[in-house]
Amino acid sequence: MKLQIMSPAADRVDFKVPPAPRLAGLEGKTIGLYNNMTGGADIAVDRVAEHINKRFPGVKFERYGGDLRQGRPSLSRGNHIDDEEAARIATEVDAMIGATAH
Amino acid sequence: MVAVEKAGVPAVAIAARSFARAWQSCVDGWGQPGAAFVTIPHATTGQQADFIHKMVDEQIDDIIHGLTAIPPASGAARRKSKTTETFTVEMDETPEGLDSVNRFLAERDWSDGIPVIPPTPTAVEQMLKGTKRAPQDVLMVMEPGFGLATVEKIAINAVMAGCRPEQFPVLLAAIDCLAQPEMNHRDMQVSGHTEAPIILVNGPIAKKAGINFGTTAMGPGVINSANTAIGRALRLCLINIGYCNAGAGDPNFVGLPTKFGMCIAENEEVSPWQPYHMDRGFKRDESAVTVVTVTGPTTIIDPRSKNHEDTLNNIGSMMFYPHAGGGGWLRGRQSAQVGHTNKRAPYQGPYHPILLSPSRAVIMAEAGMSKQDAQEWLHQNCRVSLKSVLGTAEMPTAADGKWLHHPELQHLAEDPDATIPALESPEQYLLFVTGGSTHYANFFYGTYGIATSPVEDV
Repeated sequence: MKLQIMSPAADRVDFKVPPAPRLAGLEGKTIGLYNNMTGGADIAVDRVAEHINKRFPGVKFERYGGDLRQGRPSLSRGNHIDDEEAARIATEVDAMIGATAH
Repeated sequence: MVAVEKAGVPAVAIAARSFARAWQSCVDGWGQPGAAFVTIPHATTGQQADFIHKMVDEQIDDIIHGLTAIPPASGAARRKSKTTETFTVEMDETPEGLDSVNRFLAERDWSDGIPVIPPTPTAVEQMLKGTKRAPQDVLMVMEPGFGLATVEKIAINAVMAGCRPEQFPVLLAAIDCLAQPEMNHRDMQVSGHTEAPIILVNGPIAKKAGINFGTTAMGPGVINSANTAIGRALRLCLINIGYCNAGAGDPNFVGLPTKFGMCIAENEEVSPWQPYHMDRGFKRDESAVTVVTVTGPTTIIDPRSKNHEDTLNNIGSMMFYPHAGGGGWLRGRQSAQVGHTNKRAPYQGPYHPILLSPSRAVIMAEAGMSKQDAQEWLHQNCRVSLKSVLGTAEMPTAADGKWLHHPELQHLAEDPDATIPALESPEQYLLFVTGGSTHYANFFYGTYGIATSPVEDV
């Protein structure tokens, strides 16, 4: 017996985000360090910064996540960076490294 | 991280290996399947710094490489069609032949793993007779996969779950709830801890749909088939429309049976109090569905209580495990994030549903307590130490040192004995009278949002 069935899978909104241009090198750049305030994510990105500092002296870092100062992107646990924050981050850093606890 | 890539900033993410499929599924949905990420063997939560350092050290070359080289694109291909795809599956009376539809669906990860009713065009057409809505109406864009929740797709999943047309409006109302920003359905879908939606039904639709609100209602059994089918149908929608597939969109650390589906109606005939939907602004003879994201439940065994305060104390004891969300409101409201722009929508949470046996509600009513009195009692008596709340994380503070939220309570910060209510408002203790009339209650920990929607009268 042949049975016809309908697909239960939905069509998806077809977002397309091309990758951002990559850096030619890290020398002299400012790197964003983003953690989403889940446990240990800050330790992970700080360790990355230690390595980069050793390999590329002069690199600067800007930290995001858990920053409660007025006027700073108030990224907090479980929150994703929204478009407005991303636009602002783009004016402050050349690249971003992020970590979650998971 | 896709948001910063969209803004032109190259990004690399670090995630635990067990979340690799979840990450890939997420960036697929966000439209950048090649987004760079590097995995480490374990989640960092609760790990010592030395252990985290070692995991990062082993991947540092790949992390740096991700900033300077575009990773190869990977991930799932998109499909977009104007008409719903149909497939022809061969069935016969052999064990394999009887299972052929289920295997076909399983091969595509289009199931919850339990055999389903084949969603034939005829069965779907019949399901659609349960609503006045048009098949191509879109109720929501369901995350994390950004799937279009059309009435027809919901109907297909409802057929698979074993729903009947008269139950379909309840499912549609549940999805209307998920569509409300304050429901925070994204976090419900993608969180790593064990939470699931519970569907609470009020009004005449409960009987019309055959939903049990008495003994065993949330358990197995023929008398509970409507409860089971509606709850399961919602889960199938979350999988097949939201792309919250196990181990991919759904990275839940171990899962729970509750994730297969939970649906129950209030025992309005026996309850001494007004039905819950009236608390949410509906009339008694209207029908409404409330969805809450919860984990648990824990059963409250209450045979030795002699009065209403004993019972309330017993219920209140559930609130005292650390990190049950107590006092979090002091830092301001949580925000749901919605859509591809991550727009934020503040909401009040959590709501803790307490499924109260009618017998327990009667104890309180006999003592002269209204439902609101009972909620107020819990609000006043379930308290947490302010010192412990302040110790869990920094307080959001203005430049002048004032707390951004609830500055009126800041003067208590120096008092080591000060306490605050665990939840912000009494109504967050969601008392829902249901089940058989005996000495039990089930306490669910609310995690994210809550929403209530009317049920269409067909």
